[in-house]
Amino acid sequence: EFECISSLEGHENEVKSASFSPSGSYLATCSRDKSVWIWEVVEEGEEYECASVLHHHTQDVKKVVWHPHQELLASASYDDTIKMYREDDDDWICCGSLEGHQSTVWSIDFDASGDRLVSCSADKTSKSGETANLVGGGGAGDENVWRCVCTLSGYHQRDVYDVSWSKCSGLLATACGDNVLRIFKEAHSSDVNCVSWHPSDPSLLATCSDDSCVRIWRLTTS
Amino acid sequence: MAAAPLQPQGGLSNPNPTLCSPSHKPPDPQLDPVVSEIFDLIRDIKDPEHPHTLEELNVVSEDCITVRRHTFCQNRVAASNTQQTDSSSQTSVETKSTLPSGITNKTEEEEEEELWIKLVFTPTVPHCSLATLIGLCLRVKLERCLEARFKLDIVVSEGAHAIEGDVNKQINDKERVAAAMENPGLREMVEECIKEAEY
Repeated sequence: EFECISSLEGHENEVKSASFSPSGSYLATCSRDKSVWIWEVVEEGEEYECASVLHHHTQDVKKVVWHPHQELLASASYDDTIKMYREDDDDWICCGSLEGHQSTVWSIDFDASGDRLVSCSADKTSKSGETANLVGGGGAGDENVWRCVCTLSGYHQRDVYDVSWSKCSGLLATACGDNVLRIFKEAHSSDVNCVSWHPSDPSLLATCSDDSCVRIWRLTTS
Repeated sequence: MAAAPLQPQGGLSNPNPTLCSPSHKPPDPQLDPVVSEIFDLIRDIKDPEHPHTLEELNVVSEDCITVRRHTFCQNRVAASNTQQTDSSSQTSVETKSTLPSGITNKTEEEEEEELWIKLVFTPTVPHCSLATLIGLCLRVKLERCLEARFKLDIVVSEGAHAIEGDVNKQINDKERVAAAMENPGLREMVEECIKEAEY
């Protein structure tokens, strides 16, 4: 049985996404009003205090997602960018802006380690990026830079609305406006040049790559 | 919608639009019937500014509609009852379900057709602030009246609007469209433009 214990007001129109930080200390929300709000969770989840209102996006914010281990927040927006935020001296700041998508970024997700981020967009692509700390060893929040390492294009025929990076299998799933669910597997560490299905066993697949590996895959469906 | 203002600021943006007479010629047999069907639904939408239809103002025409047929196989798990069929218990679901004994579970491959429609419209003037409203009217009309599975992209014709990128983005973002229709003022304007003429 669920009971509504709190109602948080502040956004000016539809709230698109809400997410608790990994420690449970913060709740992030975002809205069509272009802002990202960070709420501090007090009194064991019964009370919430507004810790910050962030206006870095210039258009609707579609999604907010926390880093799996750190208090680092990522947001996706109609303004075609992804922004990152962290706490700095009792205040929340924008510590990064990822640009590259050609249209609305609908969603984002981190991989299990939090060193990689995947995004999906109205430009019909999904991009993944990774971070490298430039300063200090204090974690992904320090002056880190994210760079795009891969763009999946040519698969999705309409807006890609959501993407989810499995924390257990490493598989990537995308949700698309062309009615299709797609699962992506990172198969090699370099270009995959060839793929071939076994002629009679429908569960077998072979790939070969510039990484000098030949891999055989078995598809299991329950 | 958030960006462009939707009320003309002090006066009409195009006080003297060029009119074209509605086409009364017999339907072209070469024309895809779906295109005709779509055009018939949108031709009489009223322009928000002028007492004329979108067809009369040449905002839309049959040529502005392109349709691509998209077929795909949808795996459906259909329950077929080997006993007397009670129609209310027959379900077609896409996930596995537990069925009482005596009923077989059969996976059927159905070929489904979906129409991917692209509609290009030309506002009467390049700075027309009502382009987003026209786009909204087109989408709402078709989503309500077209009986088919479809995907719809509506765009302003190239070069026909100063901020066409902005307009196109808004009218094709389903969350923005939903938000616009929740705005009572905008909704009222749309309903007024798309309502069928009373004879």
